[in-house]
Amino acid sequence: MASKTITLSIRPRGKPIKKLPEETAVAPEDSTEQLYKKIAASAGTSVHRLRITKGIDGSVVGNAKNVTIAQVDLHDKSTIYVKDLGPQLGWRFVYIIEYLGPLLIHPLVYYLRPYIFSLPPFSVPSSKIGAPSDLQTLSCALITLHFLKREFETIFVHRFSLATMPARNIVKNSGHYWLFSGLFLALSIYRPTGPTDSPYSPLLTPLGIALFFIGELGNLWTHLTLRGLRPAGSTERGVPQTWPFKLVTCPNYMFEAYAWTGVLLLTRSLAAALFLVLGVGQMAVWAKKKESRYRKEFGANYQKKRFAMIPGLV
Amino acid sequence: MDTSKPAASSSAAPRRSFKAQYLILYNFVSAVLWTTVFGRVVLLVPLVGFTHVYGGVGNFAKWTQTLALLEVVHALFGIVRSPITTTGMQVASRLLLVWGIVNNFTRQTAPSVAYSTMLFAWSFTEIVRYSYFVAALGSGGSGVPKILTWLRYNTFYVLYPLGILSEVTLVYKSLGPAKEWGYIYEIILKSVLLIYIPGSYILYSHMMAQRRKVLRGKQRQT
Repeated sequence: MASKTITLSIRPRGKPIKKLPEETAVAPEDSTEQLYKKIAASAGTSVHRLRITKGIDGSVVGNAKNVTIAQVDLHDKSTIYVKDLGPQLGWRFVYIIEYLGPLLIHPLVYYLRPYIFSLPPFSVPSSKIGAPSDLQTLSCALITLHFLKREFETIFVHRFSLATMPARNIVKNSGHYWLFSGLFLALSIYRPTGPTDSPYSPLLTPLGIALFFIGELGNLWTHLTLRGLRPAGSTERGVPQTWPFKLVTCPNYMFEAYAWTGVLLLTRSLAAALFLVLGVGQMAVWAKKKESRYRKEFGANYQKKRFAMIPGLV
Repeated sequence: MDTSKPAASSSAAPRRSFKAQYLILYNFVSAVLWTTVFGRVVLLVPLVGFTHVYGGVGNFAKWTQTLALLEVVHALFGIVRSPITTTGMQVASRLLLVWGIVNNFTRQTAPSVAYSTMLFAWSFTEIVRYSYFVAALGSGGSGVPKILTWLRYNTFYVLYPLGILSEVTLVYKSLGPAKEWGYIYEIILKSVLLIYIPGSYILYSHMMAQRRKVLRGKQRQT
């Protein structure tokens, strides 16, 4: 039986889109992916820039291969709104740029200590800038290792659910990494006579190193588990069932928090403490969102977690 | 080191793939090498005493363990399905013991009883594990002798704590001599000791989970 075509009328939302057609004819059993492709082609833009919402209730029509137009309740003469999200960048690319900042800044500040810290606002007399302390060397090595690991994961491990993000987000996101975890942390840690410019602590230092490696390895482990849930090239979701995921919703954040607690014990720097607190705060928000999303998406099949991120705490 | 699984190459094809042949060879050679380590340790202890075991087996055990680096390569390139993190950590901790601890601080660690008990625990576990893989790969998974499955999922209750306790003892004994090299080496070894706490918990609970899985599978068959 030949499929009956239906006509959807199209309105722009927000900025007008040149060449956006006023209506489009589709079959009810077409996928929403095909709808996206069709509209993008006629508007002369990329599917990633577009967001389609339903005229009737403003809910988003996702770009999916296995969802049909009939399934999202679009019928003949239904109205859809199309929004131009602006220029987009691939997630992978944005992540690589974000982490590149701290990855370069930490070794740079470490090696250029004599020059950087003799300048204002530090103005430490050059005679007082000795060789870096062992703790500073160790901190630089571990922090560099941390961001190297992230770059490695971005390139080889992560599978992203969204292909792109708005291009101007790169400035905002990179700002956090380049300025905060990069410049601010580096200046605080490698500062002569700063808190990290001191001898080892027989207890705190090994504890810091151990926490750091437990955190990094655990984090890598959870990322590999998450990767295994999503077949290559797909954007499917699933709930991991292995051990750390039974403990909390987002053990990857838990391990990340452990690693930065390790850095704090190692560096004893106030900047690291601030970074840890803000980081844990942000991750806790994300983890709670994830927990409620799991509950909504998987319903009764989902074993509710008491804690989203750290057992007994968040 | 019980996390690696035999490759899923046990298809219905009459001829084994090159990958399967290679894995059988690797596991077989490893089983033979660890049998040698085991044999030497149990013979040397009554013959020459704990203090001299190292002289008769030290080098051999060191290189036998170093061969397990190939397992990291297998996991990395997907030749076996075992996760790279667990395999990597286990091989790294073993190499730390044979190279970082016993090879560097031989005088302080090798005469210890812990050195012999460590090799005993390691070699017995490895003989069972590698033989298990050879049997599983050679038979397509179905023909593993019951005794091997039983040994694999029961001996760890005793051998893991014995191995871990011995390893921790040796690392602890090398804290002093490491400090003479530099404070940083002592700090690193202390961190290693701390990592053993969650590490051994995860390893042990992983083995118990595996054991439950295997036992449940058996019940379903009967």
